[in-house]
Amino acid sequence: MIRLKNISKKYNNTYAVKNLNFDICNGCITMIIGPSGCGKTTTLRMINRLVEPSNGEIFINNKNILDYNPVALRRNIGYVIQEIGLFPHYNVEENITVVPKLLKWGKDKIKKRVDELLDLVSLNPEYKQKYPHQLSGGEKQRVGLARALASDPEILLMDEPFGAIDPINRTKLHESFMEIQKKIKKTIVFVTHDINEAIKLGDNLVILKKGMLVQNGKLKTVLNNPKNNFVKSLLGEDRNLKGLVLKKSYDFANKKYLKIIKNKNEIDKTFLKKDKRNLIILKDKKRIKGYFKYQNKNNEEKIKYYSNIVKAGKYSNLREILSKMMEFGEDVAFICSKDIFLGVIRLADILKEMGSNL
Amino acid sequence: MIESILFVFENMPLLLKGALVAVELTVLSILLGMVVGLLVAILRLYGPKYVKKLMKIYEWVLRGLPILVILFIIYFGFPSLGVNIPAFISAVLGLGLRSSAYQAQIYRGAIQSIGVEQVEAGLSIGMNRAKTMLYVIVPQAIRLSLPGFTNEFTIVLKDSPLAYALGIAELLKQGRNIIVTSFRPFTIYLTCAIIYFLLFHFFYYLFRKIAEVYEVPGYIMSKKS
Ligand SMILES: Nc1ncnc2c1ncn2[C@@H]1O[C@H](COP(=O)(O)OP(=O)(O)OP(=O)(O)O)[C@@H](O)[C@H]1O
Ligand SMILES: [Mg+2]
Repeated sequence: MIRLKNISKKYNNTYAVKNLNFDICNGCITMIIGPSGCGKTTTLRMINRLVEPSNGEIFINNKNILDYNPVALRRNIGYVIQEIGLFPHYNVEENITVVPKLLKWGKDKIKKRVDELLDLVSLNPEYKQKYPHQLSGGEKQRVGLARALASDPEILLMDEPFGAIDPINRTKLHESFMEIQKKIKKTIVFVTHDINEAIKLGDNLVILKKGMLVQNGKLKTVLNNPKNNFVKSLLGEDRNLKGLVLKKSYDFANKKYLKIIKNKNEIDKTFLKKDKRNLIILKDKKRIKGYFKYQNKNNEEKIKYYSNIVKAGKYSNLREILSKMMEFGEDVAFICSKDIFLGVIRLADILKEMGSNL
Repeated sequence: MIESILFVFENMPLLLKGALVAVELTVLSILLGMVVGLLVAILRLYGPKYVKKLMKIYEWVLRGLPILVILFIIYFGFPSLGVNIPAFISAVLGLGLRSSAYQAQIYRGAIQSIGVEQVEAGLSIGMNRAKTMLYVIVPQAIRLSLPGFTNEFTIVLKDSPLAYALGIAELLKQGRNIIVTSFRPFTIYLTCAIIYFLLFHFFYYLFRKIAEVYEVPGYIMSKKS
């Protein structure tokens, strides 16, 4: 655990950071967010002692960081920044192995570690011989992450690591980042000023304003109970919508009001008529082909067949599903994990979830 | 024509001796300039405030004086202060110190363009300051300095004939000696010119090769453009 206790940092008599108190839990991602100049970077850099606080103490696993040797401390804390700081005169492999070499690891161990790390950040082994200037921003970022992880530090500090990357690649990096974290379970402190990024990646949120702590806690708690107008505006008017990001489809997929048939002539009209929520799904061995629904328009009763269905994966979040529904003009989504049908999520279910945030 | 060629060949040993002196003069001056220049660059970047000022003045003064004036002060001026310095050493001092002012600029620019984030990157992955300098800053600074250094080397080489004025038997002086007895200035000066030209391009090529060996794909190129 990282604990900041009454931490302040003054530059020429003005506070960059004032009287911060919060804890960062082990194995989770804590997002530090706030407007430009609010002290996010300063806070982060006090943790690995690139900046010394003017006041207060920081503890890592209950030991004051001043009691650690700074070099040893930093070897246990990976640091990834936007401008990455890869060494331009070293190739990818040399960049990653700087620390293992300093630690005098054996050749075989180093070689194995490089392969492991490249695999982890999904870079092809061919990249080993490339130089930073030959890499794209996203690739550099992956190498930066691999280098930070080289000696397997407990803690990872990341300062807007994906800030300079275009939205499409950023989404990709987000996904691989979450997958990586699932494997490595590091204590990650992540600075961003993008609230969507914070909500997507974070377990906990630390909100700063003008160097002071405004609110911190579990992402869900903050989303549901913004402390004041500043937090509300930071989260945005659409914070309920944003909250949907946290909700994974597998928790909501259900098979209530459903009947599955293999052949069109198995339709059970009375089942459809009984409840307007009821659906009959046409499914051959693996594939869902479409569904039947009862309609009553202008007193004209009809069983309508829909074949243009919305499908989503087990790990999709409700927000993604909602936007897919909007796109297709549908009010039900089919959740499948590979070929297994888990159930459906209805627009009404999602709206109910949004309501529960209020 | 054939007679001229024979004449040049006859006098070649003397001219080559002079050329060797010119190269010695250049290499020693450059080395002196490198040691002093590096020191000045580092002090100007990291020294205490007044040292920074002092180094700035040092650069100003040396860059603001004609080289011949510097050489005359050292060789003809210092003896009246009771300091007698042999001609060759005076020439190395003059050319070397003047070069140090220019080399200081080259190294300072190189170190500055590397930027603090590289130092921080080094520290943040757990290198100490010395190792960060050694493995991160110096290797980059050398690469970034090479183009400027090559240029400076050839400038000193081309300024080396000024040592003539102190009576040093470098290439031009040897040529002049031959002319005094043979009265063939055109042939001899043309030969001197060819030798200087060849020396220049030899060193230019040598440093370019060195730069190629240590080139990092995309790195120096992108810094240059
Ligand atoms: N070395 C320094 N000297 C003087 N002032 C500084 C220094 N570093 C930061 N500051 C000031 O401290 C404040 C906080 O800076 P910090 O870099 O922590 O902000 P930030 O939240 O990371 O901003 P951004 O989102 O723009 O990166 C700013 O007002 C900044 O000008
Ligand atoms: Mg910042």
